[in-house]
Amino acid sequence: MRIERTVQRLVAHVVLIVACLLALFPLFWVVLTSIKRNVDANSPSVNAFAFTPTLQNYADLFNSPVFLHAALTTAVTTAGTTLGSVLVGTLTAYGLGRLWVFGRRVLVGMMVLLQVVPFLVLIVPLFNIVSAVGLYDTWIGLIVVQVGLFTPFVTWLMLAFFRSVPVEVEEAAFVDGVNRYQLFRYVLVPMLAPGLVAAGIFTAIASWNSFLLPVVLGQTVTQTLTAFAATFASSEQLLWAQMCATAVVILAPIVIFTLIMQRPLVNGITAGSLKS
Amino acid sequence: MLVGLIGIVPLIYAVWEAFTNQGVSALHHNFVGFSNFMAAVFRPSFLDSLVVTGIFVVVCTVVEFVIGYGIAYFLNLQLRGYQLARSVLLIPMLLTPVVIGLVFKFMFTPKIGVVYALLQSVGVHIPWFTDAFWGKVFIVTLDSWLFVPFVMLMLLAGMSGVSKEQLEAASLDGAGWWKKTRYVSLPALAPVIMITLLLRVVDTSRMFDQVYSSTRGGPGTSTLTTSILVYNDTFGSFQFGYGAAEAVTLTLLLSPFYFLYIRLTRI
Repeated sequence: MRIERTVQRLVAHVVLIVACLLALFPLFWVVLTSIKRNVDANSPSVNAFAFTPTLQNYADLFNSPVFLHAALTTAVTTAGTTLGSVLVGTLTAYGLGRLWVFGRRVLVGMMVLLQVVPFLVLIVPLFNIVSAVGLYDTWIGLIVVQVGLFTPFVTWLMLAFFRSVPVEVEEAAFVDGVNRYQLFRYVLVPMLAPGLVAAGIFTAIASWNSFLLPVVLGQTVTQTLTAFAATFASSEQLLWAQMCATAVVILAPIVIFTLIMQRPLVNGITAGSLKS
Repeated sequence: MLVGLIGIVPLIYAVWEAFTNQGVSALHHNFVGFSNFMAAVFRPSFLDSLVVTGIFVVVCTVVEFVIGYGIAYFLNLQLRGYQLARSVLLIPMLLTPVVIGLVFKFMFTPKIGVVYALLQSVGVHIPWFTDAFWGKVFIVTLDSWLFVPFVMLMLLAGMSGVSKEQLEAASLDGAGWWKKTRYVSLPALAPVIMITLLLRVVDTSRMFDQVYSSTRGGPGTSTLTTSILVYNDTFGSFQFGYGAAEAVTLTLLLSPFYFLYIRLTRI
């Protein structure tokens, strides 16, 4: 029994350590390659550690107007999308959770459906509509579309959190004579804070990572960091070192964010998908 | 404020419904030229892409589930360093798929890639980007690296709900690891497993970003998923009708999963 337990612990440690190494290795390799000259990056991996480190790739990136514009676009659209989706989604969830709404079941069903259908099925209509209203290749166009597509997820997540707040709390607040704005500001927002944070984080990451929408809804003004990175895939010049530097700039914020926001993230992933 | 709020809610529906309607308008578009629809769907290239997508859905889901379950099982023992391990193992699922696709392409590239070099050092030469079979293995590896953490996290959350008393009782009755798993853990985890698998199936079936930036469907058409084909037809050869018809067909084929999912999440 005791031996069995020791063996189990040993195996567990080995498996987890190997898994962690596998999870981290690509990230390590990207950082390593990003501080090489392109010649070194393109030489066989046997000589992987024989190089003089350089920050030239990063300097090049931050001197490139195209890159800086892409970074700005990603920052603005991510902020806009996150604020918009969380605001609209929370209000919708409140409406669906508390008020009597005609066709509630159908609406909720459609919202869930919107989360699972392939994005590509929406792409052509979205492209047509956005072009038709003159928002093609604009930040606003991209933000509006992303808010529309991410709101169902926020609504869905917030519905779960609204359910954890008893109606009696609101009734008590109304008896004390607060209006709906005050109810939100002083009662619901503090109680729902963990949910709001989780929803915000998820929308922010989804928007930061989103690739297909920015590519389809614009070419130049809305070129985000992901679209910028993808240009390395089509170039024949094998700019691996530059690609890795770009990858570090895109991935590092997520990694840092993930480590800081551990708890709300874990709660959000599981609460969003498992509500039983 | 009350009026304002009630005013906002329908407005939100309008905004949001506008987005769902677009799916429907795509359908309309196709039915206008029904022959176009038939022509797009019964092409060998589309049927091939469905087969490729199907293979990825099955293989990726199974591989990710098995590995994810294993890691979750060991994490759930809550040994020292478990918090740290969970934090680290969580990271990949949140990273940008397009960028990870590029990074993996770099690491697997013959001659300069580190994975290729490591395999070469033990005498194995794998033509990742020139062989149909290994191309598929590459995509499965890539997708698993990204999404094993998701399966792991979901199952870990589920496992914390499995009754410790029942497991101990089973141990006392002389049940081994397999019996405990089979008769105590799995039944208790069944709802979580169901949702996790459904989400993975749905997600793999529309996999796009990481394939686009790494193999873009190649070598040949061996990793050409339906998503990539739709993209190529729409924006490569500007056959909007074909692209839409293919996307709608994929959605219809997967609709049983969608409805099952909607039922399971019933809000």
